[in-house]
Amino acid sequence: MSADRIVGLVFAAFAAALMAGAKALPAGIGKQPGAGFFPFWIGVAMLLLAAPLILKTSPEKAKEPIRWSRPALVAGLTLVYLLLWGSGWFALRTVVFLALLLRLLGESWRAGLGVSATLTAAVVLAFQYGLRVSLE
Amino acid sequence: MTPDLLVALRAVFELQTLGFLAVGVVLGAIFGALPGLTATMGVAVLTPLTFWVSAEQGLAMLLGIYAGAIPAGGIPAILINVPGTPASIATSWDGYALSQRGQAGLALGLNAWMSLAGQLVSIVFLAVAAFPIATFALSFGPAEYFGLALFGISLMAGVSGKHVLKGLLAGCLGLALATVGLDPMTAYPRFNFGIADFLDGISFVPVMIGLFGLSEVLTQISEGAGRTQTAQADAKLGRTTPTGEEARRIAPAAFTGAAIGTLVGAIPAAGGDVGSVIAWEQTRRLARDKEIYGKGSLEGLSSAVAAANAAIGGAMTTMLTLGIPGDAVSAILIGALLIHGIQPGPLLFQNNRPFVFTLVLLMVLAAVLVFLLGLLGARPLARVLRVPNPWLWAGIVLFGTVGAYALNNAVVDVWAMYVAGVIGFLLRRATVPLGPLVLGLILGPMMEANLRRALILSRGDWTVPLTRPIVLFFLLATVVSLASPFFRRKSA
Repeated sequence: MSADRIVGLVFAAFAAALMAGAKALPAGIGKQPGAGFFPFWIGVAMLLLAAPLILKTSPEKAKEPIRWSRPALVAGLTLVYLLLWGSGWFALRTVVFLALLLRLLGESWRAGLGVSATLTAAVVLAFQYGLRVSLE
Repeated sequence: MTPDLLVALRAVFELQTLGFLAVGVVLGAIFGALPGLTATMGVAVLTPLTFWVSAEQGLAMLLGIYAGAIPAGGIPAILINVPGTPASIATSWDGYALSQRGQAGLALGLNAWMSLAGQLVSIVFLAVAAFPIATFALSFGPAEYFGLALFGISLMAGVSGKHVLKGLLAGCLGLALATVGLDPMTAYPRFNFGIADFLDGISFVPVMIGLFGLSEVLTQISEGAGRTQTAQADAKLGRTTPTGEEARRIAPAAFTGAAIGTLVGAIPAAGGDVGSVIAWEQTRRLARDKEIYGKGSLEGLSSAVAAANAAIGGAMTTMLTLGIPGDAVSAILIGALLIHGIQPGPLLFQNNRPFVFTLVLLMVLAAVLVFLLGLLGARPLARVLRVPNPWLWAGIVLFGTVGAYALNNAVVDVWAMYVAGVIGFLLRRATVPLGPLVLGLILGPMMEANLRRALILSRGDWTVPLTRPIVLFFLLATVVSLASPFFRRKSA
């Protein structure tokens, strides 16, 4: 299946869900449009716009394959960092997170630890001490 | 001198405001000089830092970033043929050729001079045109505003390049996301999935940080971008100032570029990238010696740089007078102003004139600071190209995360930022442009509320608004704008 067709199908599915959700909202009183009016017609427009992409038959140029491993690892690492948000030890957690991130991106442990400590210190100074935002 | 102007002068010449402006210009220059980091990203990531200061000081910093990033994007474009921002794509065409001929200094000097010229021309346009436009817009009713918003969204078709349908779909996605939260007319909760934090709608700034910061980092990581930039520019720069004869030769091209850049910048969704390419092409068409364009033409470089910078004032004019973003950066600026309780649009010119004067004065000062930085700091700025990419990516991720959290001290904003980042990454992969999404997100509430108000006023009759000439004009302009890419393709 071509990439454009997949894009069209994803948008069409989103449009269908939007229309269904809008139908469940109040339709309005008399001739006054209600909460579901605007999102419903946005859904209709999206469905109409997605149709040509789904029906498109012209061949596409081959695209460079995506390297999923690095972004997936970065996303996974970030997910863990986010799940631990609010558990205290912000500075330590952040230094470890950034050092691991930089290691994943090919930096040496030494450079990674140095950069992550510097960046964390800058953020703590700017936000926690400068702007009085509690990061813990 | 009017009292409003005096108030503005006092606000601008406060030491703190000037300090924020200077910091903004330097940060913007760093963001602009580093390929991969853009003005949009800089403004998005650093916006949270401005919520703890006054609106004037916050705006000074953000305007500084905006004004500093666009000219600095020309530095890597000239030295290593890699545009620092999308607006400097056309700068590289002649700038790099000049650099290879040993005239890097002259190219960098022209980059500074033409940035100043472009920004000043567009500021003059803003100062002259904004009040009449805003006064005219005060006569708009709900139907006119709906027509205007619809026209703004339709322009996405023109600026989505080869991906017109995808651009329109992205715009609709933005409009759909804008419906999350309480219904603006009945306060009925919509699509918030029981999450109380979403009742106020999706937080705009975290979404912007995700779309333009995180998604760019993920894209570069997935494409296996190198550890550092490709080359360094350590060669001698040579003279930086054009001769009198050269200045006379390039003046018409620079003015053409500045005029085109200002007008293109004023069109919603079209920014310096579109403006500079159009200006370069138009100047080439008008030139006698067309063949030297792209091979080191001083006129070509001047036109492109002036246009890229003039788009700033054009975009700000549309943003301030109509409340519609001229480009992605001004979309984020609208979000920042709203958080400070300032609503861009025609009423701003009636209710808060000192703020409008403040903004214009800040833009003038930013243009001068950027010029000085461009002349004196091009070499040090070129050195930031040596910073390894992973360090920059880590910095963007960390500042983006903490910035999103700091807005409301809410973890849900951090999640929103990451979800937007992943969605932005996937959309980029699918060649779906992100600009229209932002435009839809910004214009959605205005479009919906005014459409429904217009229908209530006309008792549900769709034909009544069509009897109003301005509405009819916007609807016809919308049809032309939607149809033009298809006609262009056919004629090509």
